[in-house]
Amino acid sequence: MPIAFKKKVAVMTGHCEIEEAESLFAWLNEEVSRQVNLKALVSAHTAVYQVLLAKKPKVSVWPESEKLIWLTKMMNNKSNVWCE
Amino acid sequence: MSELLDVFIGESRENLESASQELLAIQSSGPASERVDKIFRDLHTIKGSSDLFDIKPLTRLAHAAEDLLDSVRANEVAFSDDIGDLLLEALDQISIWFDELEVGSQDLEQWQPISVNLGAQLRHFIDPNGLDSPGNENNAAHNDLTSSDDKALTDEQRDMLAAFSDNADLKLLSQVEGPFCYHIKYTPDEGCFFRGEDPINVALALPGLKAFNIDMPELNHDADIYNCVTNIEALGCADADAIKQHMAYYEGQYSLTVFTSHALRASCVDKIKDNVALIADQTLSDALKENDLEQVHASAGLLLASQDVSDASFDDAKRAVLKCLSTAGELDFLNRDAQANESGSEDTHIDKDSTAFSAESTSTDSTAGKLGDDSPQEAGGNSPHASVLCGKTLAPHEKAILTQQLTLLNSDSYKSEFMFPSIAGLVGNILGENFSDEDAVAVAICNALDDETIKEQADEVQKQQSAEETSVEASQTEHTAESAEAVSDTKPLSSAEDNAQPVKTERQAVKMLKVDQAKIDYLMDIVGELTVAKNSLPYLAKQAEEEGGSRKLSKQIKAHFSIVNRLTESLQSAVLQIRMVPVSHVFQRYPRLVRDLARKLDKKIELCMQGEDTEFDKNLIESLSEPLIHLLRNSIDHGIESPSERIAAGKSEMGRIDLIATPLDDSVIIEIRDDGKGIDPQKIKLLAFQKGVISEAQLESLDDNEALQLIFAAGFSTSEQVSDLSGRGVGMDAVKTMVSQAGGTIEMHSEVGVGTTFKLLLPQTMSVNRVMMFEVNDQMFGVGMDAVVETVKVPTSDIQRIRNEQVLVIREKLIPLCNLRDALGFEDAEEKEEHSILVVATPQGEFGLIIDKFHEGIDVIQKPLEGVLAGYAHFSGTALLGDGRVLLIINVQEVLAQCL
Repeated sequence: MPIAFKKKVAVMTGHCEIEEAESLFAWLNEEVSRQVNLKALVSAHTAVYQVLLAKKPKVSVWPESEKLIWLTKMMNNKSNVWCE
Repeated sequence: MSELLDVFIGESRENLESASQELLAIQSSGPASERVDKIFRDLHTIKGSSDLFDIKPLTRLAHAAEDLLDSVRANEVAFSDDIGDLLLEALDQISIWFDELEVGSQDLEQWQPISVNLGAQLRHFIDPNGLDSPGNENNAAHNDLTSSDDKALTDEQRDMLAAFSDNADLKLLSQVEGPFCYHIKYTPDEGCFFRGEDPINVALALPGLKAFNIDMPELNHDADIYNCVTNIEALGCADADAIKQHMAYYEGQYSLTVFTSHALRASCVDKIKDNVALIADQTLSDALKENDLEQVHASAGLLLASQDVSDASFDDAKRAVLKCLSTAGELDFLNRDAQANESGSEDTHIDKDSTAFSAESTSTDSTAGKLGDDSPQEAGGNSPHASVLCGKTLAPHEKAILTQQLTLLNSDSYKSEFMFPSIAGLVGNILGENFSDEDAVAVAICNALDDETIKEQADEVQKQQSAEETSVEASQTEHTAESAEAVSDTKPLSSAEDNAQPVKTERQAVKMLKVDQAKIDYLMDIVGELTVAKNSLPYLAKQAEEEGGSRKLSKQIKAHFSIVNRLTESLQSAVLQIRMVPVSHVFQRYPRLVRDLARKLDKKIELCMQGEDTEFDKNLIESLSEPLIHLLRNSIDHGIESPSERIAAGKSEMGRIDLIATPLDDSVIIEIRDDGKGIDPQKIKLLAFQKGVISEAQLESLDDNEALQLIFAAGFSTSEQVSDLSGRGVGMDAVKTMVSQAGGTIEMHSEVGVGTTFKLLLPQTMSVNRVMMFEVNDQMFGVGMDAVVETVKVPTSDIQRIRNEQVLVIREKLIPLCNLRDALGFEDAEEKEEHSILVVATPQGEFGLIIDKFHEGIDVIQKPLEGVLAGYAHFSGTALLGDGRVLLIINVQEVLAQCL
């Protein structure tokens, strides 16, 4: 499972396919205080990004992958991201 | 590999082949405009078609070569040997890439630098002082680029960048690479997820992506998570083609604006100046004033490195400006803008121009899907915008390009599916329109080219065509009159429309059919089976006569057999004919080979080919290619002497290699003759002895001709020095193996100082064999008809014995005999008064096979021995007889080796 739902935190790992978006969305909707751990997330389908960016849940660990620096920036309310 | 790619590679290889032939012809006989045209067309086709696939480096290289040829055509660049060599190199490179594509081992990352490098070299010939811009996409864009150095962005474009983020222009400029930048607004459909689309990842993979922004509304608790609500805006550096290609599947969901890096730079001049003033660094300002590039680089770099990120006074803008300055290639643009601003009127004109450029890209992309219907209308001259544009801003080179495109559209070799995108793109770039079909393009070009010569050309074609039409049908005369009227009114619109039509119909007439070879092979197999089935009819007739007792029926069957036989034979020869290709198919590769090798070795060699139209089975010809290359290499490397040696030997400086194909009955003789130094049999003998190929006794006994044949022995190399061309000691031995595998033989004659001749005798086709049937111990056997010399019946008393070997003297010639009953392990027959003897020819001479009874000759499809039989060397194969029996075909050489 790319997303492991724990009590408070959803741990996302590797590549998250579109199917994960629904469960993640439902899980985040259940309680406002729920967090996500993106440490091992490498990539995800747009639908998953869409949930993360729209809900902007609290992030316990930011992604380690360099490819996801943009996600970190964008979830921190940066309007646009420059690749450098 | 996809079928399309297959077709593309096949056709492009032909184009490459013909292009390199023309290039060679030009190099040997001087440039001729029609040859250059031909090469140009070939490359144009390759370039156009390659755009269908994700092989950008190849497309670019082909494009660069095409551009160079275009300049040669226009007499802007004089053709030189250097250009020829470079073009050949480019063609070779493309050919290598095709090889990789074919096996699927292409690595575009590796291709890229090669393409850039070769492309730059090619473009260097076009414009020796020009900026090397390998990313540059097409002529129009190229010209636009050079002439638009001073053009700034339009207001719309500025607004767009400003809306993206503060100082987006400066930031983009600081990261710019390549001549083009783009802004893309990607608004995926709500339902796009259901089509398997993944917009964010698509956007992240945009070529040359520099910055992006994802716009996302809040999602309610009950929102449908599978609705895509993401909107993406992105900035980057790449040309329109690359983006279009990347976004090909998302047509209609995005809008693209492309502008040049120069325009971006020009627009940023003020901001750069303001920010430099804000930074207030004396060294930097001074350096800028003095236009000291190095100093600017140094101080900007220093400031950039020493800045404190948290320093509020050092915002993004300043950082971006410093970055721009620290990497700027030149500083003139800062001053150029000032001049441009002073001359206000010119400025507005330029602005308009650049609007046209960017508007074109936008419309092409964002509306390509919807525009299909109304674009012909627009192209038909109804668009005032287009006509104004064309009338006023066409530069001479643009006219030339348009003329070329029109010619291409009307040429015989025009292929809609491959060439249309490229032509439409090119014309679109110039005219600022987009096109959905050839007619629209032709019309638009004619509209744009308000040039008398073009009209004259069109009129001429028109006249020819109307002449043709009048002769066809009376009902059409009205139409012709109409179009003639149109011509007299000099409305290029309608004349061009009429022009385009006949071209189309002509194209629909298919002259050649490309068929997968496997299908032909299958057909061949069926014909083979049919031959076998046909062969059963005589048996049937015999049976009808003997068992049914009906002579009449037997006669009828025989009569039918002769009809079926005739039809089968013609069917067989028809199928064989399909498989036949002229040897030129293989020969045409050789002039290039000879030329390259000769240059490498500093020799002067002329290759003369004869009988290129001699036909050959396709499979055979392919297997021939390798051995022939070997032989040619040998002749070039070892045969032909260096020019100085030749002169010293009293020969002309130019060496000559003849490659001759002559048909001989069912075979073809291929001769490779050089007038080089020849082969010294003594030297061969000595070398062979040293290498242990022959014994000391043989050293004494071998005659000159036998000595020469030693070069075919395994592990023999005459070259004392191993070169990279030939002389690895495997050559001749491998050649012989390959030739005999193809069912042929090879002979060699050589005379010291005069030259060497290799003679290959090859069967014209390998599919159907004629075999002679005979009987031994009540069993049928066959032997290849080409081995049979004669059949004789001799009284037993004529057979003599010499040293326990049976021999026969026929016409004063001693022929050793071999009793096949012994050789095949049958019991000895009773004493007979007369023996049937089959005389066969082998490389060792003629031999007689004692058999029981002769039968007729028969055409069979020989099948190799398989399974448990595979180990029996004395049979070369099997064939199925008409009555269902299996015929074993004897391998004469093996049998004789066992028997004697």
